[in-house]
Amino acid sequence: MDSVNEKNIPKNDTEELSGPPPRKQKKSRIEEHEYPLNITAMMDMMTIILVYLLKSYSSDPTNITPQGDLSMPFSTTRLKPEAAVPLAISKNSILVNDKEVCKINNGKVDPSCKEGKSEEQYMIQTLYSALDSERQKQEEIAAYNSAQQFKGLVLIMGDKDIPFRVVSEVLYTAGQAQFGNFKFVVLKNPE
Amino acid sequence: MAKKPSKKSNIENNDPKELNLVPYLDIVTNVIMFLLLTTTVTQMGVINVSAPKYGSGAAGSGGKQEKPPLNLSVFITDKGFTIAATGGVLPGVDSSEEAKAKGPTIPKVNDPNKCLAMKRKESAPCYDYVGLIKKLAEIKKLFPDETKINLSAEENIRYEVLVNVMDAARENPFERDESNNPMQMFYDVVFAAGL
Repeated sequence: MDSVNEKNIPKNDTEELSGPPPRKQKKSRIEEHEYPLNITAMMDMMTIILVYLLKSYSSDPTNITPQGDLSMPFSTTRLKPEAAVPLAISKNSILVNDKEVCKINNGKVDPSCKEGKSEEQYMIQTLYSALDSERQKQEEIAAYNSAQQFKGLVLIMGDKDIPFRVVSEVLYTAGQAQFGNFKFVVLKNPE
Repeated sequence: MAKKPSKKSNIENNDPKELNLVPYLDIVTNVIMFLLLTTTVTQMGVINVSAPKYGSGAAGSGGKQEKPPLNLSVFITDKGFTIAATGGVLPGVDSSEEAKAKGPTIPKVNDPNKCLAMKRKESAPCYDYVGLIKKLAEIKKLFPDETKINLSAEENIRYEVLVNVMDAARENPFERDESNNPMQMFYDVVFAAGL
């Protein structure tokens, strides 16, 4: 199409008078001046960005989806997160692996989640069952794969306004489920 | 009857066709947009905390201990910080019950300028983190091998205050080590949940 002869143009002009469809003639004129954009270079760039993003996405152990009711505190720590069981304590709920296990009402753990439904209890029964099944899963994996031993590690993502009572109840319950090493996830100070 | 198009001219006009990359580019752009939106831009860090261990003291070791453990404890109340230790006598820190009843070791400060200087958005009676860092630095000089700190708080203390106290105990930004990093202090945090 690009190689339309220049000779054809005057010929077409004469033909126009004798009645060939004008549309066809117009199209060939436009096509004559068309320079298609070479998108191969752009394609290369996009592919590199895509590969980089996919790699950084998959290597991030704390794949945390930002939630409206979970704003973590800032800290000066320099340690980086590592892969572990994520346990989030937001303003309204406690989540293990992004699944809600118990509600928090007005800064207090819902008594219906606790042993004997008593507010004074430290043990959060629903959280204990969720962590216990997680431990069993990890121990099963460890039985087949010696590289992935069960370390009892939990990543705790707490909202900055939750009271200490809720934190200590969660830590106590996690300790009962044999998760004794805690890592508090915080936002690094923008310095 | 229409003339049959010449084969020769067809071959001449037949340029090597390029692969149409536009739909592929559309897909890649969409995937990049999705990944950019879902990936969190904020940088995360972690603070190591361990649960209290009971009954694992030095009783089984049999041998003589050179130094008893310091057992440094910081208790956070809504009035300030109370520092206590059992393994040593700290200057200006009285760990007796009477002293605890008197009030916190490092009380909250009422000066709004001091509160602003601590870079925490707290209203006038705020926690004296600078005072806490200085006090812990004094203790660290007396016990340079100690890295453990027991942390406890009243039930209504906010989680953010806990993190700030752990930051204050971990490193002293007023003093630098050989590699120009803040001086490390008590980074081994143990939660004593006041059970």
